[in-house]
Amino acid sequence: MDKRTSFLRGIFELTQSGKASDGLREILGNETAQQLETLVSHERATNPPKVAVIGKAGVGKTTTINNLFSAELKVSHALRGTSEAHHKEYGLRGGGVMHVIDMPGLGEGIAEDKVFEEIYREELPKVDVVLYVMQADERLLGEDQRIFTDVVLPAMRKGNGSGKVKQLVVGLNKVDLMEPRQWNTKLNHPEPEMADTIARRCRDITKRLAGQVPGLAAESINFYSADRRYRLDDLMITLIGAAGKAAWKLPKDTADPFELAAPEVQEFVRKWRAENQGG
Amino acid sequence: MSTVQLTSAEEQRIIEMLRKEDRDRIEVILRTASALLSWLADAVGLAADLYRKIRNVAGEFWQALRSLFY
Repeated sequence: MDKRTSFLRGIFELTQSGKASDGLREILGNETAQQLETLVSHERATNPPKVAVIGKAGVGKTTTINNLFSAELKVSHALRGTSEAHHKEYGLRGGGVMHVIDMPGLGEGIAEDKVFEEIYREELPKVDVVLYVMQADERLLGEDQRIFTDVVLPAMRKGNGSGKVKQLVVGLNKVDLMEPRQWNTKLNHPEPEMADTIARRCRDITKRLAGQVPGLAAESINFYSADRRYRLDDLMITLIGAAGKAAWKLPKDTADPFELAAPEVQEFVRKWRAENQGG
Repeated sequence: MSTVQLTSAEEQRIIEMLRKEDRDRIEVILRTASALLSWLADAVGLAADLYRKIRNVAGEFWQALRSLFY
């Protein structure tokens, strides 16, 4: 491994495990590497990553959190005034926790909406990144557009002017349910025709959402399937971009889609990775 | 590296998926490292001296990495 690769991998591993690798120690020297470890641990302990996940019941918020971060839920308590909004703490591989504000979408009822709107306004300005999960279905966009325009974006713009809201990511989930439903269960991947349809229709949804919701950037919208673990890395990359300089604190252990493939596919993948990725 | 149950077309598709996975992981690593280094650059006081040390040691690719995303 060359010095540059060793440095980058070492820095990445440090953000995930909290430990400096031998390669990084060799490049930076023991003392500097130790200082970096201390600083990273201190920052994670005093200012842990904070993510808000918003979405209506049934859109797959919990599966998204579980498969995107592969972190272990340690604590969950309901936020005041509601039994549906939760503050959750997930344990991280390198120690410390990630805070997740798990919020229902609006539209369940007028009284509940008022409580949720207040929680949005209180919590959203404090988080590193907001993931708004919705089902990738054009017919369901109307209510979400209203929620973005009237509640989510104004809450996030607190003291932030009226431009694009960088910390917001919209995840279009459940693309595996789109027609024509041609999901190859052996490979755990859509057939080419379905993949093309998914990409085209999600581009249309993205264009429509970004066009009709001022402040929502097209590059902040991505599509995936949490159930099938499809395009989780793509969603992670979008989240990293949205989280800006705080992105290093997010866990990056997306669930492996090949674990859901047929055993012979898993075996092929295992061998390929061993030969091409050093394990 | 042949697996009897897989056709060559299936193997080819899996390899394409794995190569995309590789590209995505590299992007995740680059963006994460870039975010950490940018955060360090801003974390004055405690981190300022450390930032300078790392920059000196890894200076040959430091600017290139930072300019990728920030």
